[in-house]
Amino acid sequence: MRRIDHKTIIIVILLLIILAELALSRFSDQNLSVFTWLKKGFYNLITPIVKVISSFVDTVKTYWNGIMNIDELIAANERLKKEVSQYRIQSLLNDYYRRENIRLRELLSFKEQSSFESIGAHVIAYNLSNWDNRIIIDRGSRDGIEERMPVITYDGALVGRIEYVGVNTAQVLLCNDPEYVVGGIVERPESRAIGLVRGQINEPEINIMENISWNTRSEEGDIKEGDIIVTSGLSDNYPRGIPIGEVVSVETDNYGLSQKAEIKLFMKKKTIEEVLVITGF
Amino acid sequence: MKKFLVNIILLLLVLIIQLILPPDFIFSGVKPDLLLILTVIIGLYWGIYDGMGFAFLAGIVQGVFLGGGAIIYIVVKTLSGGLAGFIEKLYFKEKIIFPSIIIFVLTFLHETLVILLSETMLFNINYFRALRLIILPEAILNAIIALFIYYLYHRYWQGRRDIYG
Repeated sequence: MRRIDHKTIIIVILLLIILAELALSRFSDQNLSVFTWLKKGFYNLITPIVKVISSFVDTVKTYWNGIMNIDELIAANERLKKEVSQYRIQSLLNDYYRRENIRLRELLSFKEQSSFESIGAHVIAYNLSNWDNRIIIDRGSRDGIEERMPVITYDGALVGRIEYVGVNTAQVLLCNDPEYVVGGIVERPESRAIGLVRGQINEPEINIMENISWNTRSEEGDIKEGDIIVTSGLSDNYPRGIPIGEVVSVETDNYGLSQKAEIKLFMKKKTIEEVLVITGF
Repeated sequence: MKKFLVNIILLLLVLIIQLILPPDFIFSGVKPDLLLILTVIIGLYWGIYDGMGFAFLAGIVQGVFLGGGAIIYIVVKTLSGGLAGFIEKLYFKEKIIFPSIIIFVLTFLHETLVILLSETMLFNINYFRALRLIILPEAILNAIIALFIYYLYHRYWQGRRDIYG
């Protein structure tokens, strides 16, 4: 009979423990603390290297683009200088209107609308496989980032939510992932249509909005092509009003009991370079 | 020992490159799977045990950067590495085109198994659409990149005395 050495037994036991841990985390959402610690350790070891290399690549890319487009840069600089001076005047006017707005709100006893508290972040890494919709940003628990915080682009469109936090970096699950669900509402003032917006595999730039209740007062329902969908704010995780996308088609669902819409996302996965993490709202 | 260290360093290097590669690297929205390429090459070069071992490690490493799908990648990568190792003795290591063909075929198998094992994907994906838009471009990309990686890998080990461990 062939003898099995100690090394093989140790390897087999280790493999079984790893597989058991993975099965546990997949089917029961429980983790063995030693593996959570190892995962965090490895993640925190690798991501700073990724961060350094990524910023080096970005710097090289920026300089290269600058050298290649020097004439355009000079022209853009001149144009931007003029625009900045115009915005400076506009900013003074805005300050005046803001103060007036506050004063009038106080006079009418309006509740103060809270704005988002956010923190800017650079995208340093992308998805590992073609089926995965994640990015890694250069902000982590040290910067006050926590799991489930919403992430938006600089122009305000929904990007996703924080899924995993390391010390200096964090993983963002993008809103086009099939596992991502958020409550959406039609932005049009006369509409109150709400539904669940979820990602889908087949068309990464189109999300599906489901369970939209019919509006009995309108033949079209509360939702139509061209409508802008924003977050409903019904859950504690998202503020109301973050733009998600635009309705491109509407159809009946659940044997006519509700409607389903296709939403073209404002977020462009391929061009995300910087994002804002909403840390408070 | 040297083989183990070199392969581990390569694994980490490939992981970092894979993470930094933007989604629109060459084909629109499709990235090559450098971890798969490396594990298949290791399997083809060193045989079934090394192939499966490093593929298992690659799966774990990939799992750190994924959510619930980690176990799927560990199983599928180990299987791919094992299959590559199984055919190690069937080809001459100087034939650099052979690993490319194997990687082209194994990419189809790898991605199809990922779909079959993932509940979310299995019931929602349009397989033929995915085949046309993701799997085929990825397989082509993997095969092309494998040519270069295998050539460098083979050149590195070719002249070394401790090629067998």
